[in-house]
This record gives sequence, C-alpha cells and structure tokens, in this order.
Amino acid sequence: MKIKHIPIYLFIALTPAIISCDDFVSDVDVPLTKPKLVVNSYISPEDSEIKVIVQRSLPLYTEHPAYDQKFPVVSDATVILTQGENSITIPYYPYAEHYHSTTSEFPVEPGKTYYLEVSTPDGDKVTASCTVPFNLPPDIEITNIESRNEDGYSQKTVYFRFQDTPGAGDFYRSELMIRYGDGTPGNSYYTPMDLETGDRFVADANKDGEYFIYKTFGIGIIPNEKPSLLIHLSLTDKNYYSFHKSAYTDEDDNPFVEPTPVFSNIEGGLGVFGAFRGSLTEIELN
Amino acid sequence: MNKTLLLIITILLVCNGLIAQTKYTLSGYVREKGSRELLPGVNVYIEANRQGTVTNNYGFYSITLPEGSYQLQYSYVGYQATFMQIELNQDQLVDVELNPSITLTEVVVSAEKLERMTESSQMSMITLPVLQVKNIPALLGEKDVFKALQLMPGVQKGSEGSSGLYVRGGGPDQNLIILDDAPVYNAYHLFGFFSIFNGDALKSVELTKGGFPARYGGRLSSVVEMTMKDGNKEKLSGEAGIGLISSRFLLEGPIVKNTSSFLVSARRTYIDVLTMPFMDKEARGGYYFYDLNTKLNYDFGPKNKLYLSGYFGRDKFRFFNSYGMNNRSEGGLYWQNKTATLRWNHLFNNRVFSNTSLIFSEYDLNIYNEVKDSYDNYSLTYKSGIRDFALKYDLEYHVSPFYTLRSGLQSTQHRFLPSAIVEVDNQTAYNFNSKTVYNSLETGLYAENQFNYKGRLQVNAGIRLSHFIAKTKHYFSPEPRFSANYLITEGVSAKIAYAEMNQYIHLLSNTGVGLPTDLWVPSTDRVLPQKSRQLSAGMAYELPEYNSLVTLEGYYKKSTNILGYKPGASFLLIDDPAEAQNFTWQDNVTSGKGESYGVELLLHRKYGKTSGWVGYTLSWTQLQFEEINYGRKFWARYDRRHDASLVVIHELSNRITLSGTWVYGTGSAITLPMGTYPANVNDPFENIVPSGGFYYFRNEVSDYGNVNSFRMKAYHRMDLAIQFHKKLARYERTWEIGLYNAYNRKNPFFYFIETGYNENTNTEFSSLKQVSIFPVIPSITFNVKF
Repeated sequence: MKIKHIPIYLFIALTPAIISCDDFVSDVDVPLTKPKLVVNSYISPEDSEIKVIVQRSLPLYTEHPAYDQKFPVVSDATVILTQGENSITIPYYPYAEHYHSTTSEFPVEPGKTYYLEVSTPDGDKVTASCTVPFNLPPDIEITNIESRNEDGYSQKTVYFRFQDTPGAGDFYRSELMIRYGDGTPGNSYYTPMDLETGDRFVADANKDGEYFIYKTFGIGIIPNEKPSLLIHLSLTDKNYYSFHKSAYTDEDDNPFVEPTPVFSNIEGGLGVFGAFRGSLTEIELN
Repeated sequence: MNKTLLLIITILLVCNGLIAQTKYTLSGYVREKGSRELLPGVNVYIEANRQGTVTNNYGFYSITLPEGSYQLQYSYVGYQATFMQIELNQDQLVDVELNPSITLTEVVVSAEKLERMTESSQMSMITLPVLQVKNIPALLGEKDVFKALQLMPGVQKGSEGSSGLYVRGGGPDQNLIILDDAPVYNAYHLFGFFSIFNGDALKSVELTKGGFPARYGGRLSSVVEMTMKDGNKEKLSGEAGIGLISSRFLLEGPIVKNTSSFLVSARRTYIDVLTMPFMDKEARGGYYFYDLNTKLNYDFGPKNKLYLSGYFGRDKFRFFNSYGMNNRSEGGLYWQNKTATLRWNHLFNNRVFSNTSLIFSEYDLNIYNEVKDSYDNYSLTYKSGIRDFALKYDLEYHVSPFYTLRSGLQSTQHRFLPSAIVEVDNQTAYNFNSKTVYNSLETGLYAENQFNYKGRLQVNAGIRLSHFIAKTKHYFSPEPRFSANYLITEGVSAKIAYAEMNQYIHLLSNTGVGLPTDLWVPSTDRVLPQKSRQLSAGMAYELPEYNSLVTLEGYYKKSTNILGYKPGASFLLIDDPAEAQNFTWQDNVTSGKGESYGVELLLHRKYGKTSGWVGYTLSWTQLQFEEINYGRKFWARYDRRHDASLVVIHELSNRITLSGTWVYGTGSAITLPMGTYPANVNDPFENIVPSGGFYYFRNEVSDYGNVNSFRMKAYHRMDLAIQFHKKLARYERTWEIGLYNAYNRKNPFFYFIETGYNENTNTEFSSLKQVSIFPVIPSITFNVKF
C-alpha cells in the first residue's frame, strides 16, 4: 500500500467515526426557497438564430422525482430583446422548447449592447444585458504538426497559437473536434479532442497583445479516413466567459476545495445572457 | 525621521533647561521573592506626583527624578505590593522582590488601584495572568493559553474546539505569535484542537489587538507575546500533572544559586502508548504529540544577563504494517516546531537598557512512506516548511519621567521550503527528486517615543520602517504608529490609537483550522504584501470599589492585498507529492480587500474572592475579491455579529476553587447550495456536427447564492470546573474535575447534505444535517507542585 493521501485519510477516517455516532448529527432547518427563473441565451452576429431558454430551478430541500428529474421549461414567459430604440418580443417555439428568433429579424451587431427582459404571468421578472465584441477572433496559426509512429499506429500532435487583439478586456474560448471523413453528412463522424497544453478559457488580463499557445493530445490517424482538426475559437464578452469557465470547473466533493458557484448575470434569476463572435479553422491531417 | 529626531532633541533641551533642579536616576530589577524570577510589567509608581514607570520584559525599570524624598510603590497582579521610602540624592540602584500571593485574593487593594494607571495606557492590549489561565475550565483538562485568549472580546475562535485566534476580523495567519522573541509558525497540536502553549513554562502572556507599538511588525491583526519563565534561582522546585490525554512536568532550579538557573518543562500525550497492547502485532498505528520548553540563564550582575531558551514540539501520526516474511510497509506524517533564542541584556548605564537576541525558528511537515517486500522497494519522503534566522536589537532610553525612547532593529532571513520530495521505486526504476526553496530577508527598524505629561496624558508615537526582499523584488513601507491616553478625571480615561501594518509572508491554508499542511510563502512580484490600517478609540472606567475595570473600545480596520483562494483552488499538495513540483500557488491565490469594524466591551475583575470577566463584541467583517463571488462583497466565514463570554473564578475556601465559563457566538457564514438548475452551455459545434452532440454537457449545477450567505446555528457552551487544593508538608496537590459543554449543547462543527430516497413515492429529498463533535465531556486531572 503506497500512501499519498495521509492527512486526508486521517480526516476521512475521523469523519465517519463522528458521523456514525447518530447523536452527533442533527437536522438543520433550511429556509424554503422559491424556484428561480433560469435564462440562457448567447447571441452572435455570425449566428443566424437567436435562442433564449427559460426554465426554473429546483429548490434542493424539497421532495422531487428520483429519476428523470427535469427542470421545468417556462413556456408562457414574455421575452423581450432590446437594442437602442429597437426591440423584439421573441416567441416561444414549442418544438425546441425555447424562445426563438433570427438575426435577420433582429440584427445582432458588433459593439452594440443588448438588453434581455424575461417576465412571467405570475409576476417573476429578470433582466440582463451584454455587449457584443467588436472584433472577430484572431486567426489561428499552426506552428507545428508532429508525427509519430508507434506499433503501426500513426499519431499527430498539433501545435497552434493565436495572438490577442491589442486592447484589454478580451476573453477567449477554444474548442476542438476531430472529423473523420469528407465532411458531408453521413460520410463523416466526429470525436472531441482535448488540449494537452493551454487553457480552453483564457483572458487577456495582464497578457494584452500576447500569444496564447496550445498543443493537442495525439490524434490517431486512420488511413483513408481523411482526419481533420476543427478549432473553434470564440472571442466572447465577460459574461459568456465567466459563465462557461465556472460551469466547466470541476466541482467534486473535496471538502478542502472552495465551492465554485457558477457565474450569473441574470438580475433576479440564474443563468447567463452573453455574446460572442466565433470562427472555425480546419486543418487537414492526412 | 529627521522631524522625530528634532522633536526628541527639543524635548530633551526643554526638559533639561526648564527644570533647574538636580536630577538622579533610580533604577533596578523587580523579582519574585523565593525564585528570583524577573517580573515584567510591574508598576513602579509615586502617587504623590503621579509619576511612574513599568518594568520591561526583563524586569528592569528606570526613572529619573529631581532630588527629594519619595515613596515608591511596586505592584503587580498576583503579588503583594511593596512600598519603598527612597531618599534620592544620588543615582541609585534599587532591586525589589515581590511576595507572590498564594491566591489572587490576597492582593492588597491599594496595589491594584495603582496598577490601573498603566493598565489603561496601552490600548487594545490584553494581559492574561497565567494563573487565571490555569483556573479556567478546559477541554479534557488541557489548559490552553489560546483558548483562554479566545474568551476575550475582540478575539474569536474558528470552528468548534479550534485554538486558532481570529482577532478583529483577521485570520489566524495574521497573528504574530512570539515565544521569547522567536516567531512560532504553527502553534497547534492535533489539527488545531490544542495550542502548543499550556502555560506551565510561561511567565506572561500579552495580546495586542490594535494600536500596535512600533516595536512590533510583520503581521496584520495581532501580536501574542509570550515570555518563558527564567527558572527558580533559589531552590529546586517543580510541578507535575496527569490528565486524561497527556501528562506534563516542570522542573526549575538554580545551577549556581542566585546567579544562574534552568527550567525544563515537557508534556506528552499517551493515547498511542495506552492503545499499543491492544493492537495487532502486524498492523500498528498511533498518534502522539509532545512539547519541550527549556531555558537557561546566567546573571553576570546588574549590567549583563544572558538567556538561552528553546522550544521543541512535535505531532506524529504513524502506521506500520508487516505481512509475511520481510514484507513491511511503514508510513506516517509528523510536523514540528523548533525555536531557540539567545538573549543578552546589557545595561549601558542606569537609564539605557539594551537587549540583543539571536533567534532561530523552524516549522516543518514531513511525510514518509516505505514499502519493502520481495519484489518492491519503494520510499517516499515529502517535506515542506519555513526556517528563520534573525537578529534583533532593542534599546530603551529612559530620558526623563516625561520621555522614554525605544528603538531597535530586527532582521530575519526566511527560508521557505514549499516542497521537497524524494520518491524512489526499485520496481519501476522510478527515481524522483525535487526541491523548491525561496529565500528572503525581512527587516524592521523602529523608533518609539513615549511621552508622559504629568500622568494625565500619555502618548506613544513611533514609526517602523519595514523592508522585504525576495529574489530581486524589494518592498519598503513606513508604518506610522500612534497611541494616546488621556486621564479625564480620576479613574476615567480616553484613548485613541492608529497603526499601519504590513505582512510580507503569507499562509496558504486549506481549511483555516490549523492543519499541518498549511504552508508559509513569501511575497513575490505577483503576490503583494498584505497591508492593514486600524483606527481604534475607547474609554476605560475604573470601579475601585469592585476591584474592576470597564473598557469600551471601537475599531475600524481596513486591509488590502489580503490573500484569498480562487474558486476551486486547493493547496493539499500532498494529495500527490510528485505533483507538487508543478505547484503554482501564485496562480491559485487572489488578492482582495477586507473591512472590519466593531465595538468591544470588557468588564474585568482581576482579583478578589470572585474574579473573572464579562466580554461582549459586536462586529462586522466583510471581504471583497475580484475573483471570488464575482467581485461582490461577502461576509467572512467567521464574521460574528455577537460574541459574548463570561468567565467566573470563585474561591470558595482555601481548599476549593470553582470556575465556569459561558460563551456565545453568532453562527459562521458558509456557502450552501439552495437549489439546482441547468447550466445550458453554448455548443460551438452545434451547427457543424450533424448530431449536434457536443461532447461535454454539464447539465446540473448548484445554486449557492452569494458566497457565505448562509448562517450556521449559533454557538454556545458552558464549561465548569472544581479544584480541590491541599497543602502537604513537602508539596501542594490539586485535583480538578471539569465538565466541558456542561449542558450538552449540540454545536455545529460542519454541515452536510444528505439525500434520501422514498421507495413508495419514488421521490428523492435532500436535507441539511449538522455534525457536532463535542458533547458533554468530563475530565479529571491531578497536579502536584513542590
């Protein structure tokens, strides 16, 4: 037995001893909380759609179905998106269970600030705002592609980088996908790819104008399958960035780790209203 | 600095010029009768012209007066006051010995009346008589200086049973804990349940919460200064005690009578020894801690005195496994504090006193694991810690009864060892060796000017110039300090104080409960020094007819660059020691602001048949970090709106002492999930990948609300103890029976969420549960003193 967790073991060893003695455990009254409105919407000039998801949270200390617990979708809300003098009431689209419009109906433009207001017939009302980034994300530069052959398997590692656009307040998100096939539906399949070096979420605080450097894990090359690496880089506003970064932070039951509340900019509710501008780079790996 | 110097010179000229009378200096040492122990903090007072002074930490006093006849009174709590008629017509050396009272009751009333004069001069300072510490009931009968300090207003405890001190909203990392000039870096045993100071070897305990004199620096919130006893110079004497979890003894006596003496004090727990016979021979484990205090001193006469003191304490948890032939596995962890101080007191003349200290302090945590069997030979050692070498020089110049100058320098070389790992595995030929070391130098230069205008107005104005260098980064900061005390009418005084403090070294703590894994790190170019500014003001009101003093103080403290942990940060390096080399603590911390304010009320009766105190604190503490709670202000975990304590010690007779304490505190602020909700993330590949299947979709997250927006249940507890004393021919013995948490209050230790399932309705529900750790706990201890 190799030990690497002694103090934790000690603590954990002590804890059940305490908990197992029922006398030391007692109930605590928790003030009952009302379900809150949860709103999620991401707008982008490059997208054709505007989607607003409206749901309700579930209070923790109440009884609820054990399986298939679903967060109730709010279908009777009034969802109003405003920019300057213009505004639009976005209708509910039952098929997709969200409120839906298009950027041709209501343009989403770089550099402009949008306000979102969601109200329900029973009197709940939440608001949020966000500003669309002015610039498009910077170009992805491939700095190296490393090939390796091991036991007949061929692997490639891609090194890439991008340079932050000068001016503070830029937030980035990078997501990677591997596509095998020619890209036509039915002839392609996809598998997600992780980064060995570099963070998916980065900000230019103290790094204005600098390069952000990335390296993928080894990508398996299957002969005749035409693998490509797809890099989606988003330049986002702070709301989009903070929400995603906190939502993706691993949250385990480690009692020594500070809990990580997920960011929200929805006044009076939960969720996020954010903006981004994205670009896709494809690298053929054959 | 120049201005200060000019001021000093002006005052000196004024004092010397205006008063044409010839003046003489009266100086000397005040000692305890029977042991010749030097007594710090003794009041030397001339009531007729309301002049006086206090002995310094080494029992020395000096007062310069015009020629004449004076009646001097020497008084100190726990001692009978001594009166001296002095005909002052030349410089005189007057050494005084005070008779210890057997009990606090015997203190002469008139002596106490004088003591209050200085009692009220230093603001926000608590002097805790060690005798009182020993009379207060304690958990498992283990007397603990820190637990006694927690009963004072402005000082709060952390979680249940913890010895950590939270002073005026500051954390345990912001306390400067000094034992005979040496800083102590981890003052806790058994994961914070006991402090390393049991009081046996201590002569005095002082806690300063604000209005810090310039001689102190390096931490934001408090200074706990403890002085060890020197050792009985006249006869061999000692003390021993047997308790439920530990035993202790103290032995002191002369090496050369009246010239040099020694002191040895030790304590050890014995749960491991007692349980050993019941353990399996092949698998053993155990835990113990011990303390060892030693002191030697040599008195070369009134001019020179030499002291050598040391502390060593260790906690160890270990296990041992053996199986089959030659197969064994062994491991454990231990953490230890070592301090050593060599001090030299030198008297240049009867007005100028100096002390030079060479100081060593080290704290380290060690983890080891060894596995040996027929096919494997694995070993791992991990070590982290801090080590200091320091030089300290203090000078005290008693210019006149109106003016005293204190000045000095302290320079400390810190060596930080965040981690050192050696891991060897023969089976896989793995050999890992890594070590990170940071060196830094911290220096403080100070000057304190203490003015005393006719005993009515006392002012201590000073400055501390602090400097810190780590690698190539220099930090320099002047820290102004000021405190004033004005006697409005007899028995009523008003006080005001201002202090700026810098803290150049930081504690990375996983839990704040004093775990051995807490790690000290230096300021760097990215992690700036923490800084605080504190303003306090108050009133002291004496009630001589009740032998009591009432103090009311208000404070406002603002801290900047205080350290916080980014969400999700963890410093449990030893989770996987091999990963510690990649440890980037600077990426895990964030700096922010703290604000605390409050009012403290203390009614203290230091002696009498019934003694004790009532303390009440009303306070607010808020924190704000850019990267925590999304930049919004939040309550500190130990923000405590109300905190009250009652301590009563009653001497029923010469043979029986009763004591009791009651504490109350608002519940801690914690972050609690109140609900769950969907985190509908944006999928950048939604329109690209036909199935729309983004690979990772985190559906459900917890709604925590604001950080620390939920309050745990309030904390309250009563402890009781009864002591039976008996004087026998050669020694005195005391039995103590104690009751911790007398009315068995279930106080919160931590909360957890339990999820239950109802089969009938196929529903789930969560409920919040509280875990308490200490029910009513009786204890018995036996002590002898000879």
